[in-house]
This record gives sequence, C-alpha cells and structure tokens, in this order.
Amino acid sequence: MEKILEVKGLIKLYKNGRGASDINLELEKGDVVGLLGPNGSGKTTIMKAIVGLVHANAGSVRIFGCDISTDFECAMERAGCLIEAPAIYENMTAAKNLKLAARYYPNIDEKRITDVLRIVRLDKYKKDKVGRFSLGMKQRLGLALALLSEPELLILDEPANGLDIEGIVEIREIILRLAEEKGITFLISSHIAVEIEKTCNKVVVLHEGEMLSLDSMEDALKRNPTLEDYYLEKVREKRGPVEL
Amino acid sequence: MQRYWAGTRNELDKLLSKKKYFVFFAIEIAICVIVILLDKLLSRVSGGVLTFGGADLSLMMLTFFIRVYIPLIIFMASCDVFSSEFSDLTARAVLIRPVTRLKAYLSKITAIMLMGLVFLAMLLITTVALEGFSGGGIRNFWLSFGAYLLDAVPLFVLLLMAVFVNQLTKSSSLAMFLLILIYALLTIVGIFVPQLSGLLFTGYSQWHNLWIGETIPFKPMLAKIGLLAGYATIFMSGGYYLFERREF
Repeated sequence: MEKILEVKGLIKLYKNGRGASDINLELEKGDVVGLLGPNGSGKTTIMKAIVGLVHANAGSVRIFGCDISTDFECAMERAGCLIEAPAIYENMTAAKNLKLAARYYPNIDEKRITDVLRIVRLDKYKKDKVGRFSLGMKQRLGLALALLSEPELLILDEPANGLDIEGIVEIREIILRLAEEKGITFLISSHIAVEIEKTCNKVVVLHEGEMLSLDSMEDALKRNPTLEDYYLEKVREKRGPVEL
Repeated sequence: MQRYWAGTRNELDKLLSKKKYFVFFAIEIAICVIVILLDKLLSRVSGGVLTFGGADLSLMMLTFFIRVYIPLIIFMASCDVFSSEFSDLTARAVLIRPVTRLKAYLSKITAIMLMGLVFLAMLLITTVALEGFSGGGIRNFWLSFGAYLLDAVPLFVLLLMAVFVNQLTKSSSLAMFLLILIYALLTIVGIFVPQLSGLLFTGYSQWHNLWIGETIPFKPMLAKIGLLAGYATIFMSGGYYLFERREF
C-alpha cells in the first residue's frame, strides 16, 4: 500500500510546555484516520506541524514521500487542509477566495470552483462577500478551499466546528463519499467520539500531548461498546487506578 | 516561478480589494491639481514673478510625494500584507498551499513594490498631463521619468525596512506606529545631524538628486550604492529569517 503520510518521532512543545510529543503515524491510501482527544491534547499542534504551520522540535513528516521541511511544494501539491478556523478573506466573495487559491495550481478552472461550491452547498452564495457568512458557511467554504485542488490527502481539524446538526451530517457524508468514490485519504481531528466513530476507520487517542493508541475502528469497538468507552479505557490505562 | 507570480497577483488583488488605496490615488491626483491651480494663481497675481515649482512640476511634486506620501502608502500596504494577516491568521491561506515561504515572502514584497510604483507612475502621468494642459508644455519628460525611476531604488530599501518591522509584531496598528516613528526619527536625525545623513538610508529618498544635475564623482557614488545595498541585504535577510521562523 502506498504510504500517503508518515510522521516519525514528531515533537512540538510550546514555551508553556504543552504541545505534542513522540507522535508516530502512518496513513495509507484510503485511510480515514481520526485524532481523538480533548481540547489541549495536541490534535491541532500535530496537524499544524504536519503542514508546516509550526516548526517541529524533532522528528520528520513526509507527505507522498516528500519531506515537509526540505521539499514543501512537493509535499503539499496533493494535500489539502483546514486547520482551526478557515483562512478566508472576508472582504472578498466566496468565488474570489477560491480563485486566489486556484492560482497556485495548474488546471483549476471556473468549473472546478463552481463544482466545489456545489459540493459544500454554497453555490447560491458564490458572489456574496464572505464577511456576511455565518460560522457554518465559513466552515463549509474552508472545506471547499481544502477540496479545491482535488487533493489525495485531506487534513481536517475539527471540520464540524460551528456547524448545526444538519451541517455536521452533511460534512460527514461528504467525507465518506470522497473516501469511497475517490479514495481520498483523510486525517481528521475531533474531541467528539461519536463523530470519529461514524466517520473514521482508524482512531488515534491523544491525551495531554501524548499518543496513547492507534487502532482500527473495528478493533477499538471489539472490546468496547462505543468509541467513548474505548477512549476512557485508554486514558485510564495511562493514568492508572484512581483512588476514591 | 509560476507560484511566485501567482502569489504576487494574489497579494495585489488583496491590496486592491481595499477601497482606501483608490481613495489615496484620488487624493494624490487632487493634490497635484490643487498645487498646479495655486501655482497658476500665484503666478498671475505676482505677474509671473512667483511660482511654486519653477520649471518642473513633476520634479517638485516628486520631492513631496517620495518623502511623505508614498512612504506612508508603502507602510500601510506592508501592514496589510504582513502584520494584519498575522493577526487575523489569513496568512495561513497562502502557507497551506504548495508554495515555499521564501516565494510567499518575495511575492508579498513584489506586490507592495508594484503598488508603490503604480503610485509613482500615477504621479508622473498626472503632473506631466497637468503641465501639458496648463500650457506649460511637456518639458523634460524623460528627465522626470529617470528621476522617478531612480527614486524607486531608496523606496525599495524603505519597503524592506517596513517589511522587517512588520515581522516584529502581530498588530498592524503597532507596526504602522513603529514605522512612522522610526521614519520620522531617522528623517529628523538626518536633518539635525548632517554628518549622519549620509549614513542613513532615509537621507537618500531623493536619490535622483545624486544623478541628475550636479553629478557627484564615481567613487563616492559607488559607496552610496553599496550603503543602500547593505541596508537592503540586512532588512531583506532579517525580515525573511523572522518570517520563516514564524508559527501560525
């Protein structure tokens, strides 16, 4: 199987001592991997380090075999991402935001821009200024920006953030459809176990910047009724018995 | 290269999406019109004895615009392109694309410089046209053109300084304040301590004076070129180092 993403011994610690340490991950084609952990567990830090938004203290990241620190363009050519809040220009229209991003790739035309807007159901608002968008619409535009270049790897940090129930289901369906029909590999983070359970086929449990486990969803749910229980089991294993 | 140009186009698009730059274009033209009208009025009242600019309106206007107006535009554009994007995190929109930080940095600098050049070109065209319309005829166009082109060199150094200062903060208002303060201080020091003016890059804002008119000998000229190149190298490399190390 082709290795899409390889993270080896990644350490990123901030001045306050938080961050992520000793992260090892391998994503193969078609994987939908979920990073599960509470706020501050290091999910966003790991994703930022993977796409080069922060500099790792140690370790390496390779995307499609290209090292992120030495061959950035090659690494990011076939990858798309949405990290934290979408980076969008609020004084521009949705279409203009996509057009600016499209210039970095060859062969992205108007049709593709319309197509991605349709995928995230924003085609009606193509010519509206993004400043007037709701939080959910901005999140969907962020997803459209990530999808624009038809990436083979999508890194999505809390993609359901700010979405209503309908929006969350829609995003999940989009992810599942893209993974199945186009074989796109996903790395998704969430602090909501149900979201990861319903979307991913592999799960990584993170706690206080440490990677506690990496299992297939099937294995995780063999021993536990829900992913929530699996998560709690892993955290308790790490903490040890708690005296009452 | 394709991605560098894509970045430059994007940065220009972002700058031009802000209405304030069009307002500043309009103010630039309005100042030129007002000055030429006052010049004509003064000339008529004094029977042709008194004028503002003497022979060349375009060079006279260049003196004001290159010292005050265009540096402010450059400072504002650098804050919009750098510190403002650091604070609202839109800088990420570029950095998650397949483009190296060096290319992203250079494309931002190119866009700001192009913006400055557009303001200079507008000034030249306006002043030359106004001179033509007011019956003064188009005198020494190529001389003015050369002067404008030469003054773009120290403007570029000033731009690199502005970009460097923008790497020190995430707040665009603080960056703008610092830039105005630094520029004012350097200019004042240059005026009150003439021995230092030759060492400060702000003293070269009217670079064309060294080339046009009283031409100074080659050796001191070479030293001045070296000095500007030195400033440019320091600001460029220092600014890039900070930009490259920045985390988003």
